[in-house]
Amino acid sequence: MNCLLCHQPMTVPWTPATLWRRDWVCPSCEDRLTPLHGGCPRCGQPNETGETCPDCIRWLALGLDLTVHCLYAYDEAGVEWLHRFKFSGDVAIAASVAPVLRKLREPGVTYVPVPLSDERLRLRRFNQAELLARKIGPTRQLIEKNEVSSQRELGKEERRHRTNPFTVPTSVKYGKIILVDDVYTTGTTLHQAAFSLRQAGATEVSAICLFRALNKSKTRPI
Amino acid sequence: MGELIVASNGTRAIRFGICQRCLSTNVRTFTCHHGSCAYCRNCLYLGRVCRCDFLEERDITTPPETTELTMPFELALAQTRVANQLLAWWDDRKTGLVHAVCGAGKTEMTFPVIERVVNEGKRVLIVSPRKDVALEWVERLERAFTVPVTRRYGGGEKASIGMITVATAPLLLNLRHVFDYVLVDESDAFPFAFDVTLWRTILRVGKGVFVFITATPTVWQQMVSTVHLSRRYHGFDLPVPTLVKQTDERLFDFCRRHASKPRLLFVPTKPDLERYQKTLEDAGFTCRMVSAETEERTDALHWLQETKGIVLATSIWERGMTVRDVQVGVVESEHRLFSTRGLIQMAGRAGRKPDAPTGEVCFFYGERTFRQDLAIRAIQKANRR
Repeated sequence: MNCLLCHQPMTVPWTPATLWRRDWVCPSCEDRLTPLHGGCPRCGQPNETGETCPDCIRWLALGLDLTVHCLYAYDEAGVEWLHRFKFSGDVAIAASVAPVLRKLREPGVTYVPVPLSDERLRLRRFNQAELLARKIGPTRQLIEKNEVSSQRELGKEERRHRTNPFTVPTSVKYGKIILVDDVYTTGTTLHQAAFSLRQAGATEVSAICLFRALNKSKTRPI
Repeated sequence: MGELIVASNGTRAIRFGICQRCLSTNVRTFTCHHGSCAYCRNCLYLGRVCRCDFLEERDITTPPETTELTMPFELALAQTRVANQLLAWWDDRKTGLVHAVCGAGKTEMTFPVIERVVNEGKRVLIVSPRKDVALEWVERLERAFTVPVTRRYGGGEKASIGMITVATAPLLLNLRHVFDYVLVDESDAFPFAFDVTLWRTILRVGKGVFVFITATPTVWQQMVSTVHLSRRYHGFDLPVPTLVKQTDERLFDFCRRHASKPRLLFVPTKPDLERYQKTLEDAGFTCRMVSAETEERTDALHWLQETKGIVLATSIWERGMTVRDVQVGVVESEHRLFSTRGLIQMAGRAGRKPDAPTGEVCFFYGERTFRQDLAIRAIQKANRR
């Protein structure tokens, strides 16, 4: 069996899963992504004290309370992984984080991927957030996105003051909703999506995000 | 005829679970924007193809030109014989195999036939197993021919196809029926030998006339008509390997004996590289390591040539490298990664220059295997022929 990520031959451990699992990741590839521990309870931004970070205090001051569970740091390995997944389109490597995502599954929760605009979806062919959400649990596409320009080139303040591109066409009155996205940079996307959901009547909204961009890192947020 | 591009009309990129571009079945299903879909993981580096994509052939060849040939040196008698045979094969549009020993001057022998093919307005492709070898081909071709050489390996320009193209195999996957004459250099080397689909792709790239050039043909390459060249161009015998029982002391002895010459030690795997470097350093030798992951391979080659040091290499260096007066040792030559053909190629690194036509080749063994014996016997047979 070859490793899913590095294609090198590897020995598959002998577990019951040996019989049905198709994708295996070798140990050296497995610990390339750095998981986030402790840090800000709202967004996972690493700090020693475990206090709420200043950015989150600003979100709270705006009256937007959203807990985002971020899994990995968006460092160099994270950038490489996400580029491969999202831009090269090697979608199968989502299976390397699938076991971690699967453990986050809760009963009775609807997982809502953050949508792409139609134009972008046609260009990329898939919605990366939806593929990740499918690894967690039952998904439902509740949100629609209007055409807006990419956030890629925007700075922190410009991102914050963007008008809300998300609309929720139906009313969602019951059940718990968890939003799923790939990267948390400033949190604008997720907070706007959560705001739209709450306006449509959702009571319990939280979010799961695969990567957390570190504020002081040199890597440009995507 | 032309390059396969993703277009709106054409044939489906993935049919029956087989990627139509690279013929692999490494196809994964996923959720596309329209629903369930599949994409090929094998040829992602050429841009992703999905089942909802269509492939279309587009002609990207440039208008034909003529060329002039300036030979870098006069061909020896044996080389002329092979060159004439190649010309005859081309006139009959026949496929053939050139079975020439390592260091016989295979590159220059093909120049007359390349010239004739190009002047007839046909396109030539030279496939090499690795980028370093491709670079060397380009360098020599550009010195000998007046037409520009298209480079189709990682880093080369890939927009159009001229009269002469030098390529590595993976970047030929999206070409179909372009080249009238295909020279497959080192046709038993790594990417071809283990990947049947790659071999099929090579056959699809050409229009039916192929020439395989190698020192160690596999059995199924010997099916086509063969011309042998079993003498190096300087006329000396190939160095015959000696079998030496491997102990650390004998290894050091080999290194000490040739202290004033560059020494090249082949080891089977990457972990072995570090292990043997440690043993050699404990004994007071300095050495460098070369493996597929080493970036500065040409740099190591110059270092070996100039400082006359010791280089530990994996089988990445078994082909296509020339160092003057190098002494070759194969450590753990009973390892299953050292095939007969690999051992012959490694032995062929020694004595490639006319001013240093011999060298010592040692197979260090822990156990004796048939592969060692077959390699030695093949070299002796070539010397007798």
